[in-house]
Amino acid sequence: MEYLNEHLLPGQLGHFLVILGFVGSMLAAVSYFFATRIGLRDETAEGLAVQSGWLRIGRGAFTVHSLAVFGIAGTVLYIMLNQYYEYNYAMEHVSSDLDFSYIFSAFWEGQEGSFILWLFWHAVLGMILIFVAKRWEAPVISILSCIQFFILTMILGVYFYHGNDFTKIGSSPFILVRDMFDAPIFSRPDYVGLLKGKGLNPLLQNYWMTIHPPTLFLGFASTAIPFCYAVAGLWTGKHKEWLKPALPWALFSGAILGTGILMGGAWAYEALSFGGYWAWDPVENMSLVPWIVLVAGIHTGLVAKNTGYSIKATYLFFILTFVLILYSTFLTRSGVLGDTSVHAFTEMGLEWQLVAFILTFLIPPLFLLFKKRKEIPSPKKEESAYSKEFWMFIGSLVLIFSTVLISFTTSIPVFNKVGTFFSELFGGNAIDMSPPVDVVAHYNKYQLWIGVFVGILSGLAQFMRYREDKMTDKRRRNFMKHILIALVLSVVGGVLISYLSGIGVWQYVLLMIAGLFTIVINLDYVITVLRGKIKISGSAVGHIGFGLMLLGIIFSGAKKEVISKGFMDTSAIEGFSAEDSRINMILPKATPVVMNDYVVTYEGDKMDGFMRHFNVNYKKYNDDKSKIIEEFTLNPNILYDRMLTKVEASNPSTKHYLTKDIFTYVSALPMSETDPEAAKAAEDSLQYIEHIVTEKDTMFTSQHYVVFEGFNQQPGNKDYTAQPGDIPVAAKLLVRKMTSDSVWRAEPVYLIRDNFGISVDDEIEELGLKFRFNKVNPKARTMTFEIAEKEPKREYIVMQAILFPGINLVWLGCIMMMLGLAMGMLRRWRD
Amino acid sequence: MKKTNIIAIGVIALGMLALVFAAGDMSTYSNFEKAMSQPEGKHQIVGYLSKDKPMEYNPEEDANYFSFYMKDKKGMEKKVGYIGTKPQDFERSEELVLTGTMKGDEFIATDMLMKCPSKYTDEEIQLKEKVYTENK
Repeated sequence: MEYLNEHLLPGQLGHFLVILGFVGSMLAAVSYFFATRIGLRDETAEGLAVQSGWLRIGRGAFTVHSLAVFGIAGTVLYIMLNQYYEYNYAMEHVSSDLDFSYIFSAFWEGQEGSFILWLFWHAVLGMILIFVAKRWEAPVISILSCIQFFILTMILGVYFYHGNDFTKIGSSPFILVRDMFDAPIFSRPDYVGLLKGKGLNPLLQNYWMTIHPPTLFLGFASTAIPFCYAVAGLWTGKHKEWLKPALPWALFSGAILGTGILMGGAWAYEALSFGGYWAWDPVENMSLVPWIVLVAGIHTGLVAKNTGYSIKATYLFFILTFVLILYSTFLTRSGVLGDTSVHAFTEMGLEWQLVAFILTFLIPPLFLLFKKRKEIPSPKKEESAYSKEFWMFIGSLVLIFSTVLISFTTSIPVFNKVGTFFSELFGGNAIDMSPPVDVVAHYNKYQLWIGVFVGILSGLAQFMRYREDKMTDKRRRNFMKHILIALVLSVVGGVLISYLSGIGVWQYVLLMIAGLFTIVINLDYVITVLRGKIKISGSAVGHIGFGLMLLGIIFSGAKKEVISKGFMDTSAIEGFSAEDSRINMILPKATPVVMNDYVVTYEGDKMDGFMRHFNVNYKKYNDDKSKIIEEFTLNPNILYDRMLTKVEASNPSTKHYLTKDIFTYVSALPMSETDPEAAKAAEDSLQYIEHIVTEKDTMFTSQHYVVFEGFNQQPGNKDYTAQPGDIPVAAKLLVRKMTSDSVWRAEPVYLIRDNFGISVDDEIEELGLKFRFNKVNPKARTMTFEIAEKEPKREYIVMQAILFPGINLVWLGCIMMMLGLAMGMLRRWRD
Repeated sequence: MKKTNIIAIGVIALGMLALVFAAGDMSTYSNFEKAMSQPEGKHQIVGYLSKDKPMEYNPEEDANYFSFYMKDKKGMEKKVGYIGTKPQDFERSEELVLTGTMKGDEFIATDMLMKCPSKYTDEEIQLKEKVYTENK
């Protein structure tokens, strides 16, 4: 059949570009492979000539590949911008009412788009490497091209049929709706005009969705570079030389990936109603784990570069970082986390492909590492316990240990899948292990100790030196002086702060001491050793950041107060009880409610498009309640769907102070305002009572009297729109409450249109009265009215209010950590 | 033996120990029958929302109590009292994972995870409603 109005060209171009990119990555991988091999085997002039030939082909191929990737991204965007709904990806992610500024968010909302984003960053980084990697260009980009090859298969969209079954390789963003579905609509040549888009999930329609994914994916993509360098080091046997160029990339990756994760936390806190910045959700965990392994790798890498120790560990950690990124991709995209994560991810049918991806980049590098373990140099003499390298290595082990614990609990659904597979193979039962009942308390309990160890070690190691066998007496005295002063200061400070702020749990006190210790000693280091030289104090800045983050976590976690509850929250390490969960409060309109130190009033609301903003006023009085010492208004809002009957998203509003935040969001509304069925039921249950009256008569309801004053030939009722030929008449009704002197007016309309009588109701919302002008009897000069009394409308919101003390320390600490990494990168880059 | 090796082994041993302890926190998914026989313990139960049974949430009475019925994987149906507000789109959810304890004949849940067939995964084609109704 010939279809009308289809735009097939962009799709064909897109398919072509995918194939081109695919071939380009293969050719680049192969050419760079040969360039590397010849470089290793033949160092004669002839060999060099052949090598430069391969290099040229490799460069060309990778450039073509990169241009193809940019082209793919551009084509998908073009299809989405023009709303070509005949393409499934456009239909799934855009709609005609989608704000144009969310086009990028819609682009990477889908799995295909986020794979393209990932490819895009790899391509950009690869192009940079062509110019800066010099001797390492060939092996590194050869491996990077292999990675690109695998990710491209994810958007290939090739089906292999065997009988009625098929195996799918990749999911193409260029697939047409009519190729995807079998529906009667495709028997119409003009089906394209009938399609409409589903649009972007309203929860994702905010600026975080525009900036968080590209940052996170740049972080993901950048972990591939240290990985490529590590594999290249193993491959070429230059076990020491690869460290120097790899380290700035690892530091860059640490800074960007960390920023991406941090943005995720900030998004959850600022714009979503999760009530916190970190929930130990599996998806969050699995982005954190590779970052921690990367940080461990950076530390062993510094040791390796400076002393020659820990080269094997560095190889292993950089390889694992990238493989863990792949594992995280697998977990979040395979649907395996369905029972344990709040982040909804759907299956794409690419699970086995993802597993193959992981194994391809896990097993060969590990095999290579194992095979070459003997040839990797390592100083004969063991590290001295006085040396920096020794304690940095221990610190890295502690970090790895942390990731083992996190990954273990997060991987439970995977253990279930794998266990069930083998168990059923031998006729056993399905494995049905569940994560801990109090999952947040579980993680906190263990990770707290990691924080303590890392805090102490990062402080201690700063004052040590590389390759120091023995300390002279003078040096020892000096060392002990700094350590002891810092220790005393942090113990006294930690105990004092805990006591003053009422933190009673001893584990928290210990963690606070560890945090203070690393802050004090790193400050000391910057002042006394580095003498304030900013350029080389990246590590101190990062470690101070870590300490500040620990303090922030303690305050915002242990001292977090759900003020819409009215009692202390101890759930952070002890788990939730039923009482702990009672965190919502009802606020009737204009009725002040006491929440801790605040008097909180829901003052009213305002509609703005599909958004409903609430005014929630907070007042704080002085001790004898005579004066307001603080007052502010928060505006949490909810987003309705297009029919204005269902709530799509609830957005919090937060009052920021230097030392604390007050977080508020609307968790429920009256049923009739959120549930179309409840609203309809309320309407249906209205009881109209008939009144037959003549002019100037009075009708009575339970609380009002209504005087029929006369007619109005020009009805002003807003629900009535005049049409030619109408014969309308409105009844002027005057309404009084029996208990007050106020007067209200209503004008229900009765009209004749095409010989039929029609009533247009009027309503006085404030009184809950509805009026219907039902019949005119000209002979008897009587009118028939129907009046219904609604239950007085109850206006209230149900909300949560949480006080987070010290949350700014968390942000400041995290930002300083990223800054420290970035400073380290600049320093190593200049070297 | 090198000092680093000894310490590394020490750290690994400590790690194993912590893992064993951590594994002690794990449990298996429970069901209503087990929750009734062990009313003192916390249970995690996977089940399906009974859409034909009433769901009640009346914030004016209690803003932190939402009740509904769920059938666990063994087919036993119980009333559930969730300590919290009624989540958006609850009616659309299919599978639920509850954490809580049995109180008499009611399961009191303090935590709930919903699996919704998201509207973005519906295998359906969206049509412009106006055109669609014209052609019906």
